[in-house]
Amino acid sequence: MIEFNNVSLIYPNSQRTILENLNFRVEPGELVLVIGLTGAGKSSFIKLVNGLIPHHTAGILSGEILIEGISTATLKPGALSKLIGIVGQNPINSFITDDVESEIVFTLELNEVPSAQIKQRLNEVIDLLGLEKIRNRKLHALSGGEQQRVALACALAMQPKMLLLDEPTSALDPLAAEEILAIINRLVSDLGLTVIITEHRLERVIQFVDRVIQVNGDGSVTTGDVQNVLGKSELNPPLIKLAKSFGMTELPTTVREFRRKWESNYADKFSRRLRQSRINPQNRSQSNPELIVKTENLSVSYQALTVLTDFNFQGFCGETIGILGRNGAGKSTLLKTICGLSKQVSGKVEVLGKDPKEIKPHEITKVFGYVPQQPSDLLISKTVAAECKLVDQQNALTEGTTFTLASQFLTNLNPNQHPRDLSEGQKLILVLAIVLATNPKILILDEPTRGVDYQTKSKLVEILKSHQLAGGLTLIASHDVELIAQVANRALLISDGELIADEDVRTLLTSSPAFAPTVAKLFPNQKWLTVNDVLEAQVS
Amino acid sequence: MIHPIAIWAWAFALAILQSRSTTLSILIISTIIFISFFRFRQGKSRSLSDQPNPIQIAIYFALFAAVIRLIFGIIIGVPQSGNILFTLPNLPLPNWLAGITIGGAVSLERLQLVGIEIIKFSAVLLTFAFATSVTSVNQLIRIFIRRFRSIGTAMLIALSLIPQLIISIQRIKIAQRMRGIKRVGFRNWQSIAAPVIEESLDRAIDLAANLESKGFGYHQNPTTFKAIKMGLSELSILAAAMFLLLLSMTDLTLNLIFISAVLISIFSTFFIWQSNQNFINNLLALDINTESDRSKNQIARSAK
Repeated sequence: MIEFNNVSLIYPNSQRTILENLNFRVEPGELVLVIGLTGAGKSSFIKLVNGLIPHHTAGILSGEILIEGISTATLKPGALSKLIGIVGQNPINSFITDDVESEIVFTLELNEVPSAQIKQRLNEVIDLLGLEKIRNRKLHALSGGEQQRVALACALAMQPKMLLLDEPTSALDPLAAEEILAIINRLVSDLGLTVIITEHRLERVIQFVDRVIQVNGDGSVTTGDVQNVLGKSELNPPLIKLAKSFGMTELPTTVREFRRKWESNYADKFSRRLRQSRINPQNRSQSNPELIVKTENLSVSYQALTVLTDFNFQGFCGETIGILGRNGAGKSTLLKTICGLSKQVSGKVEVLGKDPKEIKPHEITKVFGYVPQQPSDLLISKTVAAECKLVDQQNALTEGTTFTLASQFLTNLNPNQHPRDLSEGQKLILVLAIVLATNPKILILDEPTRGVDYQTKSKLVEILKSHQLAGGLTLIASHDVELIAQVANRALLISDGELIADEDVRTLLTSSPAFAPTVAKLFPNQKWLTVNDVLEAQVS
Repeated sequence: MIHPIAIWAWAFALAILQSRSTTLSILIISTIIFISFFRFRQGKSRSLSDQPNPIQIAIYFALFAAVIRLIFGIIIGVPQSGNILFTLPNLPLPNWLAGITIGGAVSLERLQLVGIEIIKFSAVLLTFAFATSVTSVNQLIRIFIRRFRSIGTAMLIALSLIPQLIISIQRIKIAQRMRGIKRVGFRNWQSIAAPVIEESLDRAIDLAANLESKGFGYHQNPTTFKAIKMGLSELSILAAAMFLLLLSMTDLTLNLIFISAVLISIFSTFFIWQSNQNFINNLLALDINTESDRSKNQIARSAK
């Protein structure tokens, strides 16, 4: 169905080949997962199949890609629109019309679907993806998960044979992500759809996948089934990591498989040691920690919409607080309000005993370290060195402080590089260095791991842990439960603007099935959250 | 649901009238009629959202322009006789700039002129802002896409970027304030511009890629689903627009040519409308998914 013959790809003005002499076939009805570090070329791979490279995005392509026997060199992406549906990373960027129905209808109209059939197809996809309730809503008023479902509906309305998905769940909370992936899985098994999907959070998709392609970033590509590719790869979700460290020969892909293997082969060997061990409670750095953030009966609204209601919480020195909740629950608003950025606020917010709005501009960086959803919002200079120098100057630090910190985090940082040419992961780490250079009391991260690979994530965990040890308070709003499990010691659960739970991270994550990390699912009777927890227990 | 072409035609005609008329009353009355008519017909069509309200933006913009115009109106001027209100210190200019003074006497007449200009400008702005708020430019673009594809793509991308642009500027400003970068002025405008431009470009590329992979501009005959049809009310709005255009004409011969052209077009449109509604509808087809009774009836009718 899809055939790559000696395909090589390089971008103009770039020294690095993305793909080199790739030979590969995707059979009908396969679900293929594309993995790799950020910037390795996963999105390029998707664009190649659909013909967007070379027709839309410049790229020097050699060899040929055959779709049902026809080379993409001779076909425009438009010609394939009835055959291949594509859903991008940020559906909101690619919507054309204003509301849900029009968006679906517009796609059909463009492709000359007869008017009589449009109504039928429209209703079919609306049923299929459960859009009944939102079919007349405006697109930009929808939550991230809903937008993703609409984008998927548009692609499926064409009744394509293939679906290309570029990180379809990166912006979604665990429940919404599960929902989307379940739909995709159902389409594959019911309709025999061929799907190519890219994803960073492998734990979400690995169970559905027939085959894995790892784009290594140096032109080479590893293909094979989950066993082969992940067995050798360093990109491992917690499940695989754990299986490897127990020396399982056949890697499990689901929680169920792991548990069965565990019960039959490994439980006896390890369980005695495991059961005896206890997680030592995390020692607070100070017995009487300093109160940093406090909210009392906080309510925030936008126009007529109430986003947060009666919010009461306190944050102390040396804490790392994970903020969980579904898309649109009010996580970002909470963070913004703490920074003094929300307008319609009632109730009380206090940061270091003061209203955050009264903190003077030159003090802001000493109090807050704010990493926004798009870290690149903060990058303004032409080189990394200039960026760091600016921080030093603004905050009267000795020259070179920021750059030294940044190069501690990123070992191969080139001072003359343009900050926008860094990979997403590198940008995030650089911004963290910029923000941490002034030693802020509170570090605030809004969804930091979106589209970020495991390598960067472990770096992030390292940095956050050292900030915690230094006695700072960290607030992280994230959908990434694995990250929260690794760094946080306390977690808040927000739903529809209300604080549902405020507990120790172990209690919260192990009690809620929706937000449980993989390890908690694997060992439901223990209070373990991360692979390290298990390994430590095993050693002791 | 009124066909957006009709609304825009009226808005354009009104704008021409507004910019040409010198009488305050016509200006104000026509604007009020336009706004209240559509307000009444459409109700509130925009839902509550984070999208900026075009009317609000237009008001801010008009105020800004008014202040600038007023300042220039007072400082720079052509010497004019009349009731002198006050006199500013005069800046001597070289001889070859004889017609203009900087500073000097400010007359009542000059201020009146400036005032009328400001009202004119604001009226035109408001008219268009209002038309945008009831129809959304996207709908109009979708009509023209069928006729002019490549321009349509460019316009569609540009238009969907503008509201997003405002949102990203706000977001980036907040982020940079938290980094301790003080107020953005002329000196560090780049700090905002760089991320905003980068993001808009990314967005434009995303949208273009999506359009292309959806087959936009590739298939030659897009179909239409539930078109809004040109009905009697639309035609009467168009006729009213023509009338407004006529009002704005002052030259007699031009007037005659124009009147005849307008009459011919109205009659022929009306004739065609009666004999074969499909012609106009195909020309101006707009697919909108309103479950209103009217469009349902029309579907039923066209099915017969």
